[in-house]
Amino acid sequence: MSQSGHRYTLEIISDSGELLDQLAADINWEPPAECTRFTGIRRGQIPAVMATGERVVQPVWHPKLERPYVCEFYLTVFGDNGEQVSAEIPLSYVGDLARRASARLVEKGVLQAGSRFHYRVFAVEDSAATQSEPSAAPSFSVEEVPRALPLHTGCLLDALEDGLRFGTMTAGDMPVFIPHHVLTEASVLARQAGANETGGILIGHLLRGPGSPEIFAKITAQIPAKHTRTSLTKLTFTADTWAAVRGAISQRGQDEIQLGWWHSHSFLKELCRDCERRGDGTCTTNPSFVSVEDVALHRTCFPRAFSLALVISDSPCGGLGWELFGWRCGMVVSRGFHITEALQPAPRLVTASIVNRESQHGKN
Amino acid sequence: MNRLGTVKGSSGSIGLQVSDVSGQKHANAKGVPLDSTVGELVHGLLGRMNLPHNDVSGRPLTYQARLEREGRHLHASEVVGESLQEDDRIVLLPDVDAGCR
Ligand SMILES: [Zn+2]
Ligand SMILES: [Zn+2]
Repeated sequence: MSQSGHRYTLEIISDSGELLDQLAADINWEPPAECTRFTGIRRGQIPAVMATGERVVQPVWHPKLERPYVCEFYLTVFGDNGEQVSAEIPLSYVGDLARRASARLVEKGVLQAGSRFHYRVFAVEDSAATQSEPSAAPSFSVEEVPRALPLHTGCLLDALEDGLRFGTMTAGDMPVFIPHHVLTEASVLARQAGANETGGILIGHLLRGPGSPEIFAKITAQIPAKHTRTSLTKLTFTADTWAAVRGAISQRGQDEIQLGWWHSHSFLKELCRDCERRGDGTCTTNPSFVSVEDVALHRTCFPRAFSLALVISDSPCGGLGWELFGWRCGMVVSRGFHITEALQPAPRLVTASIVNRESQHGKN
Repeated sequence: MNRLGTVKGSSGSIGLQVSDVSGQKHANAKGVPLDSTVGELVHGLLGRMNLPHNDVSGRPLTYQARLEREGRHLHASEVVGESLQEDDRIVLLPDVDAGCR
């Protein structure tokens, strides 16, 4: 059971300070609780078990607006033997709710599309604000079955030595290692799909060294998503897609788990086809992001805090790019990773460049 | 074990092992009425496994229940007592969209 002990209300405010809307904030605490629990596991504060468990959320009062306004949330999760782990969850966690509320205001004509708005949250103590069982439950019971996190043994220092840093590393993120060939395979598939989206599943292992509770993820392969429906701006993973992935993992027999997914954003191949800004390099369109749908897919299919989402972006103006996203404080955010097997010796290339240089010298 | 939900029992019922698409969320369903449909079973499992009923536009998400014993997706209209056995393992597999809006 999870307890919040408070009811939260979201206020949408115009740029000029006018209160535009006030609505009950139905905050889903599961993603930040899952992240907090995983952080505790990585610190050795809580057993390495995948479970929902007990949690408590407390509002942290805003220093300027003061009570009942909230500047962040203080979330505590509990282990079965009294262990507890806490984390500060920023107010931006409700940003998605605020954006959805603002979109409705735009539809109603209360807010102009594209105009700035602000949001704030206030909390009212309410002992009945405990998430409990749904009232319209069907006639059977459901009990969660906690499972041990499937951990392999590995040395983080060895992995770091082999890796090439990519993207912005943020303290506190779980180290992630992706082999160069996985990135290349996904990129080739993205190119082959043209302007349409394509994707796949990232599989691999979670590892922990003998001397430290830290956990790191090693991607071992990507499984191209089959049985999908695709278009310029949409990729549907179907039940058959997931069934095929399960089959492929089982066939490989390497005890791999689904660590995440990848998909391509190549729609700019259409939108930027005749881009006038390409010539002088001033096109700033950036397809490297996760959309609302992408985040929802991640939440539905990859709810564990170690899960990853790789976006392969491809555009005529910006070329091909990789960006990895993962869970942080219950939100899906951009994060860094390490590329492995990238620095393989390439004797033929070295020879070719020497030949080239010599021939250029010859011309001079 | 953490109790996620409970309601009235039923005499003609079975227990099932359920997991989500990631294979990382597991639950036991107990007292599933034999005369209920697979569609009702799936609907009842979603909320209590913290799986969303709807997509971002509010449209219902489609989930298939895959019966591991037979390696097939069950049809929503199939009756639990006719298609499932005690302790069968089912996996909830959604049709879900990635996008770039
Ligand atoms: Zn352009
Ligand atoms: Zn996307």
